[in-house]
Amino acid sequence: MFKKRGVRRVRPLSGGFEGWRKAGLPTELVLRQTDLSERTVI
Amino acid sequence: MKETLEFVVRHGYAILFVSVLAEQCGVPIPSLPMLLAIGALAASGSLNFALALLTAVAACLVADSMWYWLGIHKGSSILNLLCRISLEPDSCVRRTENMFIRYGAPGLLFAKFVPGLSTAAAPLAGMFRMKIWKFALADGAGSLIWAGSYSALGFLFRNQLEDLLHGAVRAGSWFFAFVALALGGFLLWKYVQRRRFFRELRIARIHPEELSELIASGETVTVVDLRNALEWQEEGASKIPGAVHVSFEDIEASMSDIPMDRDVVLYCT
Repeated sequence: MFKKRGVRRVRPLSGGFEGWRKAGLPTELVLRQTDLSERTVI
Repeated sequence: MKETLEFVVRHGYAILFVSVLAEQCGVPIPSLPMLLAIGALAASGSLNFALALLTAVAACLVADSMWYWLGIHKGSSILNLLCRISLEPDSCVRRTENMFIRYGAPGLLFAKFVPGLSTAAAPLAGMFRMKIWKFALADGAGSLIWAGSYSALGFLFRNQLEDLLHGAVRAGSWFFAFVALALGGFLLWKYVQRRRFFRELRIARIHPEELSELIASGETVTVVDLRNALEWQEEGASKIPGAVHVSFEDIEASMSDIPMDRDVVLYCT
């Protein structure tokens, strides 16, 4: 789907979010504004 | 053939109970033929339709109660185990979770008709701590609808089923060989498809440390969080810095908002 839209490369993150957390990498709190699914179009 | 039929008539209820129980426990042997057969036998007066239906529902409730209990005590590990033997394991966990988020208890009414969801729905109810009375009611009703539908089909199309059976007997072992070949071919195709999918994933995947270095170096990359809405709405929910959330179902609609001139990194739980 992404490649059809011209994306260079689609890469799955190994281990997902849990893998990121286990690696001790920083996270940030969820902010509603970044949820594209709920964005309101005026 | 006659002996087989007599055996089924004599032990119909027991065979039905075991068949439905096995399938609902996750054994990959469909009980659909048995439900159709029982319906057909009930039409001929050899078995009692209501009793057969009760038997099937009882078997469903026994198996589903076990899965419900496992869902409460074992959590998502049970869902992962069930989905591992699914023909679509990669989307299985997400699909079952989304079904519950969308439909809740009424989802149990039709879950048994959906391949892959029929066994996963009960442990999911346990995981989501559905009240036991609500689960028993919804699952009982769903089991009744499921068993009743297929038995009723057997009841209504008894003559056609008999013709089909006679045709299969006439064809002899060729018929069963054909069915076995078709099923084997389908499973092989699914296996090859899955292997190919995982090979592509292995080639393309990125490790967390690598992504972190990419972001730190200022490389433009779009990180997309595909976790379901429930995980995002939890108290204190966190994400990878800069990631944008898109539910899998809305991904097509959100395409225009995702920058496409760079690498896209996807992640779930």
